[in-house]
Amino acid sequence: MITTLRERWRISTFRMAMLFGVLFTIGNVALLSLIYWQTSSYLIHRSDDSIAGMASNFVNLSPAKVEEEVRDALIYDLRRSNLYGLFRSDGTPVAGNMQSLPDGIPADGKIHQFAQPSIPAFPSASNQPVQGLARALVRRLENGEILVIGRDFTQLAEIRSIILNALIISGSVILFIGLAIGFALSLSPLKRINVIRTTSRRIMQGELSLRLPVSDRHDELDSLSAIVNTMLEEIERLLTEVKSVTDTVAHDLRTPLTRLRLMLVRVQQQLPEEQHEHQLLNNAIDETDTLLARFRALLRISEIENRQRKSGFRQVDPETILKQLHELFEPLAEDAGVNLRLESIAADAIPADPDLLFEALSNLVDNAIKFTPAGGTVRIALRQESSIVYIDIIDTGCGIPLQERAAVMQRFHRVQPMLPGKEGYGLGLSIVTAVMRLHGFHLLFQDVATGTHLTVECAN
Amino acid sequence: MQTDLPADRPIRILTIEDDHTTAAEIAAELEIHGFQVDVVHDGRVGLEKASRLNYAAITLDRMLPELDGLSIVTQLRAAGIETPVLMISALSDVDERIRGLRAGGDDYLTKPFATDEMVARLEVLLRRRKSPDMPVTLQVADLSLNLIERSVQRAGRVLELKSTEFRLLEYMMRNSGQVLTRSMIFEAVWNYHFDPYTNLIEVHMMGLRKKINLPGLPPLIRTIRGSGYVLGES
Repeated sequence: MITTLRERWRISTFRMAMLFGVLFTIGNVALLSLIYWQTSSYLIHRSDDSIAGMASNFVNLSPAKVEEEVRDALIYDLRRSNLYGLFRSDGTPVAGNMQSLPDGIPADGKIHQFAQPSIPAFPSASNQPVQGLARALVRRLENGEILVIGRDFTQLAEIRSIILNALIISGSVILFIGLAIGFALSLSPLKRINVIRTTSRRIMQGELSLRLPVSDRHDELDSLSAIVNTMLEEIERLLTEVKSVTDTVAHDLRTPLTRLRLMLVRVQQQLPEEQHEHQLLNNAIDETDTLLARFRALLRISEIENRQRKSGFRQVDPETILKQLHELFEPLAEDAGVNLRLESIAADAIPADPDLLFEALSNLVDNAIKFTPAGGTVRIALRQESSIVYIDIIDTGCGIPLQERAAVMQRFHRVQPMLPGKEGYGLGLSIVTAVMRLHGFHLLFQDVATGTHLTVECAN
Repeated sequence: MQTDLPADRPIRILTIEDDHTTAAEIAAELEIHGFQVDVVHDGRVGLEKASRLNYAAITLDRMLPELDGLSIVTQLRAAGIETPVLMISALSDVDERIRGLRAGGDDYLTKPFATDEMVARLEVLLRRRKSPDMPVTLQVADLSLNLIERSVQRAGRVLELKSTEFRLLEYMMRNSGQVLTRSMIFEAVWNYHFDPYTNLIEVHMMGLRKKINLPGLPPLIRTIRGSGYVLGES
């Protein structure tokens, strides 16, 4: 299962969904910013328009008339939202509702925005007193007096800041919702991909009868799954066919061979032992046995290779297996004049099918004993490096030539007889290879001066 | 209820096998060994016969038309019928073997098989049903094996056996007088189900033989060429 965010990130569906989430958010924020900007400039524009209208009444008036006009304008300004101020050139007020000249505003006849303490602070929507704000134009008259015409901008600024706040809050909510929806949208395809991944992994491990899930949505994932399923069906059909052909061949040849052997035994039983034909029949029976054993081995290999389940797998104590192995082969080694030694330590349990592992190891030990001349030694050793368990089979026999090593693992390959009359090497090692593959273990040839040193690395 | 078949010999065996050639072979081999054989080619009839008549043993094909071998043995056991069943199957997978034995089969033989192997296994099954009790001492001729003390004596002399040799001898004494094939021995003593491809069992047998055959006393283990071994007085 996918758990970490980093793993999620690797999945394109997830990235796509997140990308859409981010784009959606950016789009929304841009839209809201535009609204804010438009509103804000509209408010400023309205305010500046009326200031310009007010200012037009003062055009071409003499300084004396200006003072009169200021007083009149204040009388008619019922809403008391306008600012008029006439000041001497030293800043002393002459007329109007302003106590002092605004600080740092040039008398250039343009509209500026500034703090205006004379406007009473009023409780705003947030219950915080808001600093008075004004927009006004400041003009120097011909006689050096300064005229200020403006409007209280506090409420408009307040409206603007309310809009800005609303935009920030709704923007964050949209951002959060966008990302959350993106995440949520990616979950369902992720779940499907997870199912596909798990199923594929099980199929790779040999459960060929499994199929990928296909929903009734008919989307691209479904059509891909359907294609893979068709492929799987074909593979399974071919495998079954090959297996059944191999099995039928081996089976059909074994049945008459078994009968032949039985007939030979029957005939032999009716002959007195000292007769020459008795010995001849002995040889014939031995040859039949060899043939039967080969077929059995071939069938066994295909059986292991086609095994689709790891149902026989459990935690196995390698020491126990090696002890049994030693006990089983000790008389054989003794008979061959070979010293069979077990060098075992307590090691971690390994996940294995104990029957198959034992079968593979017995093949290795059997070979080692077979190819070690009398007086030699075969060592079965167990060791562990960090968490990996190694089983070594080391003999002082004739060894396997370097160029033969890869070939001996293949089915049907037989090493050129190094010792006359010692056959059966090829199929035995094929069984070992098949078992190793099923377990995910590795069979390694170690370089040694004399003999053979094989290592089974019990780790996938 | 099962009807008792005539108690006097011959012993009656039921063979359920859909392949006519194999069925004829099994029947012929069993008849050579003095058994009387009823052959049935169909699962349903087989189950019906096995439930109705008291056979000494049944050879049962795993794959049958209509009703397969596993269901037959399961239904027999469910009905409380304990007739020994030798399952015979083309499926040699270990899983199949385990399934067959778990369903109630007593032994499992893979096709193709040597008919003498089949007879040997069947005889062991017949014998096992006859003496289900667990004796403390096994006795064959002048050889005795004590299961509690894990000691072996022959003609009053104590024999020192290794644990493998002891298990091997115990298995042979429990089935004395019967042919035991190499694969039967390997399965019973070592509990592994593969072909050891080598003369492993022979070597073990040689070791055991050396310890049991005391000078001046008749040998107790005989080799049946091509088949296996028998423990008992010749």
